[in-house]
Amino acid sequence: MLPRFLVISKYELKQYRASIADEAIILLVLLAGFMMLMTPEVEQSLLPSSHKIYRIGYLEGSVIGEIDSYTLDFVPYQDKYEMMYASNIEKIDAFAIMGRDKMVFFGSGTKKSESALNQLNLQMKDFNMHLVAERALAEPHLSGILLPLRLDIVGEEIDYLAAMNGTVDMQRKQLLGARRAEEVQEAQKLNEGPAPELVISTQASMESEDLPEPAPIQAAETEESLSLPAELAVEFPFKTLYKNMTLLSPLIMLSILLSLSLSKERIDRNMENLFIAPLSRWEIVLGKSLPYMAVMAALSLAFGFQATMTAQALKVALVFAALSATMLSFSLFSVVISRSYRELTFIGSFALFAFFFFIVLPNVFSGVNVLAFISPLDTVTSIENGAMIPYTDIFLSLLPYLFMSMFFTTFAGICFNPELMFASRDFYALLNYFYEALSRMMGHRHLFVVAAVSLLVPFIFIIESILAYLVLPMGFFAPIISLILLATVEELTKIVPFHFQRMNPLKYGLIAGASFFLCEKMFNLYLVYKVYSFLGGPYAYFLSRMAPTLLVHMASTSVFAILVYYGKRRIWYVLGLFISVIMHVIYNVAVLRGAI
Amino acid sequence: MRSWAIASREISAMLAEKSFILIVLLELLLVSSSGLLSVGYVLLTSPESSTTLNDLSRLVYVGIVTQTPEDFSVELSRNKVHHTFYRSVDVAKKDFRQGLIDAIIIGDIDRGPPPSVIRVYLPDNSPKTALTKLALKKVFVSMEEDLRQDKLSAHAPGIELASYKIMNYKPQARYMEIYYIFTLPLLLFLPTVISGSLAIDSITQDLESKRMLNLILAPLKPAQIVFGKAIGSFALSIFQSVLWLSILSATFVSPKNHLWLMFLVGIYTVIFINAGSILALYLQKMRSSQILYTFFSMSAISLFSPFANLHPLLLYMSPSYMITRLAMGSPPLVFAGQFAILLTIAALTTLVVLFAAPRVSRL
Repeated sequence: MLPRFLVISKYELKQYRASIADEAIILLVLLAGFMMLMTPEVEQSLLPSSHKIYRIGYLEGSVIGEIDSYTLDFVPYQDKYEMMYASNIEKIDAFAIMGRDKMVFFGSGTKKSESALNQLNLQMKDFNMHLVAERALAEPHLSGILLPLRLDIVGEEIDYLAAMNGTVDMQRKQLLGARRAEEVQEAQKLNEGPAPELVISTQASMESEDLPEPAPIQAAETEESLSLPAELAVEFPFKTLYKNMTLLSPLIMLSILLSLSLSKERIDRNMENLFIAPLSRWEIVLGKSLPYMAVMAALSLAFGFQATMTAQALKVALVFAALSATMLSFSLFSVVISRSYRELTFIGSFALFAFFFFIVLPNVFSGVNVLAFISPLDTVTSIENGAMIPYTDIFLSLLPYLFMSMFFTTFAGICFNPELMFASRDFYALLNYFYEALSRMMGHRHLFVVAAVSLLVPFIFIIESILAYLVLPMGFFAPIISLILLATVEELTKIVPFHFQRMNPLKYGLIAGASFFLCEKMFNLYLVYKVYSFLGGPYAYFLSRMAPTLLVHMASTSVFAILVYYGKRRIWYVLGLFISVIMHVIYNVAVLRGAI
Repeated sequence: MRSWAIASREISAMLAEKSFILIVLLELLLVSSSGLLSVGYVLLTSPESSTTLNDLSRLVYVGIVTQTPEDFSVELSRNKVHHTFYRSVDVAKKDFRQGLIDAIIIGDIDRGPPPSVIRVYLPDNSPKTALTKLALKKVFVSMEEDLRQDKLSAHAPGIELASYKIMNYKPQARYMEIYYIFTLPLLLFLPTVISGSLAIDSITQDLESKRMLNLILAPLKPAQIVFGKAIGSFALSIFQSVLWLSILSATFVSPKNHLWLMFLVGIYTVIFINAGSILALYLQKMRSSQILYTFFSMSAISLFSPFANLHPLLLYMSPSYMITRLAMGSPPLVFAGQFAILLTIAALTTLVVLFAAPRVSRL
């Protein structure tokens, strides 16, 4: 006799077995990730939309005609004036004229032309180098003059964990400083004279046995293994991005399948039968989700061993499993809040792109920018590169996603009942119901505030990550804009439970502020450890001034709650938000400026 | 006219649900984050031109073992690369293996006619290697240029090399380019893909909940029902493209060929709606239809990626290629062939929908 929830799982699987087409599609979905990994790599990483987008004019017979570029379209002209006229009417973005001793390029003056000139500059650097190399080949006696530098690139394994640890930055400076000092001391001993300039001293004090062997000019055969500086290939982790996207796609598809299945039950009212059956709501949800969970767990494990055949595979599997849990819980959540297939499509499309932004895109910056730490996939990339990532790192990077799963599952669990599933309530009404039920579940109002605020904090993490994205290109203005936006998001989030469950505003403010502070700091542990230490400087102030931060959170939330509680009109919400954000921003600015 | 009645019902339902705002929000996110996307794009395609990465050279630590330190020091300092001179290769290697330095440079600069051979140790197992390589590439290229000039004047003064000059050139980030090659194509194409998905939802929801029965019993032809349902999705797609073209036109992007772009979006929308309707009518189930449609739409979206470079036909039929070129002012006639193919596909799929429309009554 199967446990009751397993009967539901069996029923779920049976649905797919009923249709060969469904079975084939599911199989394809599951294999998609691995199939994509086997496809040949595309050499060009350029987007098709950038193919020949800029038109550059040149006079027929010019050497420019030999350039083959993906982005630039070189258009030959017979007459110089015809070409200049074409530039005037913006038919071409730039044109080339042979000057006395060099090729001179002119832009047409438009914004597009500026971009074209940028591309042209890159292209011409390569092309000139190509011409130099050709000449060196034609005149071997000039080879060492025209191509004076040859590189012999040697790859070696390093202690990757140490190299990628954000805190190593300071250590490096100190240790490198110490190394220099050591060498200066040695130089002093050897020369018995005053210490010369650090860098020069190194050269001055070199003993013959310590000197590196003079680099010999390589024989003709080995010279082929040498490369020119321009040939030093710089490849960014495009493959990692592509690979992780590929691996995530079957997981995404499986979570979509769960939401489609539950949605179907809801629309054709089969779910009524399930609610009538002697099954608890949790048994229905668990039974329905179990087949998908099992496949996702198996895939996660397979992905782990695909990444590395060591014990580290389990860590990779853990990351994919946790992301699967977030996706599945979101599927449950989306089914509960959507009232039609159409809404499900809108919510699903939004989630898919949001997922891409937070999980996949930051992976591009792996090893390059601290933004990479936003995504737990950064740990996967690190492991793939041979790093020994500890479980604490894995857990901390996944914490916001695990908490988010908790929110989605709790919300879906509470709202997954016949009354709401067939009443087509809007999201606001569902939130109202959720907070009422959560308040009853917690038993005590103070506990309710702690739970309600804590469950919202992971969303702050996500929203703040988006804001980090958005303000990054703003350069100089980025810090102040991000301070205002972050303060607004935090103040708004803290007040959400109060909007639905009114209570003593002062008590609410104190408890909500404290809960938010504790939970936020817990989530930030990973970022504090990885990012803040990487950036150093002002962020250290935040850490060393925990108590004032706690007080500010409590004070700003209390002010907002009091104004919302006693104010009878909506304008009080705006005023409350404004005052609390101002308090928040002033505090943050004061901390950054070292005034507190 | 009767199709319009169904269409207005669909649009009213959509407006009441308000969830379409999520899609607009998503697109807003896409537009606002284009600046960052451009950073990512440049980083992937031509890292050497990335200003963000150039600023990150200061994160690179290099150890050098040489007898000619001045030659390295000047360029490394100019490029803000941290560097330390070592006397012993072994000590440098020890620090390198411990991750204290990101690369070792070993060798001397020879100012005589022979070339200088420099050995560079780089980590095999670090994603930071790309950044280190980039920083070193800039340093070595610059050193090479200076060294070439010195050697030419010292050893071969009569030789002249090709050079170029760009008038009024100022290096800049490629923010504007990303709007044309990524943001705009995606903003115009994404709603067309979603419209097909909405067509499936609209048909299968009524089929599965048996609400289709009311429509079948009404004095409506099956084709009128199907097209009526599709009009709502079509209108939403067109509305979004008008919205984004208007917004972007008011900014520095200012796409050209508005009407042709709208026409192209219209054709794509028809194709996707027809594809969705055909799947919904034949499979009758939302789940199967949506799964198949996802494959179909993902294949179309993959033409936005470098996969389209695999074959010229894929490249020239790529929606992003066409949208970008039209938006950048290419004459529409250049795309006559592509338009003809797309119109044929739209017409053929419409015929299939007409043929399959009576299946709405198979409840």
